[in-house]
Amino acid sequence: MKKRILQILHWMCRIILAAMFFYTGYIKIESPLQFAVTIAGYDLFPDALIPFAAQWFPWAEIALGVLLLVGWKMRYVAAATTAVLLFFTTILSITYFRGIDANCGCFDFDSKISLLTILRDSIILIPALYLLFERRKPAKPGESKNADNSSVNAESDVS
Amino acid sequence: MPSRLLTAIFFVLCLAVCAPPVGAADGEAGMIISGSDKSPVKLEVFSDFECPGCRGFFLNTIQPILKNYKDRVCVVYYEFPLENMHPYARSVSRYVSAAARLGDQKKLLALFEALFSDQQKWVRDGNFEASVSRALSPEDFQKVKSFLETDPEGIERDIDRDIAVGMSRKINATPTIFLNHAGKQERVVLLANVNMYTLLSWRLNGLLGQ
Repeated sequence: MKKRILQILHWMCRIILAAMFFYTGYIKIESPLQFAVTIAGYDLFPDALIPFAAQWFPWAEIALGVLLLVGWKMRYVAAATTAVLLFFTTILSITYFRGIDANCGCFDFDSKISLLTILRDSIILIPALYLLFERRKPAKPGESKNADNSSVNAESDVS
Repeated sequence: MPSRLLTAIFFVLCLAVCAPPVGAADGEAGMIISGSDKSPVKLEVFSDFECPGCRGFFLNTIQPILKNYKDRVCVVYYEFPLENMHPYARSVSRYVSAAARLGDQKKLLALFEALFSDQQKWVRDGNFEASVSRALSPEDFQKVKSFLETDPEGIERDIDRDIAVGMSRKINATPTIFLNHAGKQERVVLLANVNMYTLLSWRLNGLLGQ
């Protein structure tokens, strides 16, 4: 029973995060200029970097979404997901506490950065952290202990 | 593994077919200040003549765009006076809408330049007529005045039509721009602290394949 609950929890985290990355990546791909304006609004990055980030970052989000669904190298994917979400939460926090009136640019381009948007992004970190730190089946003697196998073990642990 | 891959491919395909609808045709609304319907990219601007952000956007972004992209970009301005914030905005819009009836892009552009350049002067005393008369020849200025006197309802209708287009597109701030290219429309709300020319020219170069 516990195994079943853990399995559901594992898949829920993956599906929620993947759906979120598909959506956020999609809206940015559809509005590259608005995304570039949003990044520029944070007043944190050099101008030369902004078009590059606006062009490629949304595709990285889509790729993360695909990898979360596929489940390949799950530990690395979970680490990358956590890093991306932490990065965004940090940027939003810095911008907010500097008193800059900027758009969040997370799920739409209309909402301003507020404590609520920072809290929302922090909550989204929970499933990513769960996937990163969920208990993995210990490797059997003779099995490789590399990260790839760990992810397979995590899969088999819950399936 | 193959089934997982298929699931992922299915999701990506779903994303691809969910493209937003092509921008609605807005009939006669808006004033073309550069380019034509044949230009590969259409840049629509919802603007208020009394809004300082719109002034900055016109002088620092639109003017260099007009100079560097010429007929490759069709620039269409829509009147979107924010009357509750800007007491002269609607009156200025009346003059501009009347001037649009002269049917000359260059004259209209000269009027835009004068009104935005002098904005900081006329917002203090409301004497925008001085900027209008400076931008137009005495004959054209008289024509504009006569349009305003003979067809005030028609002028108001023109402005209301632009505002209606803005409302239908859920405009809640000026300036807001729409980039139209190959049947796709991209909405952009501008920020005061952002150098828009660099970003807009990056995007236009991408759309124009430069």
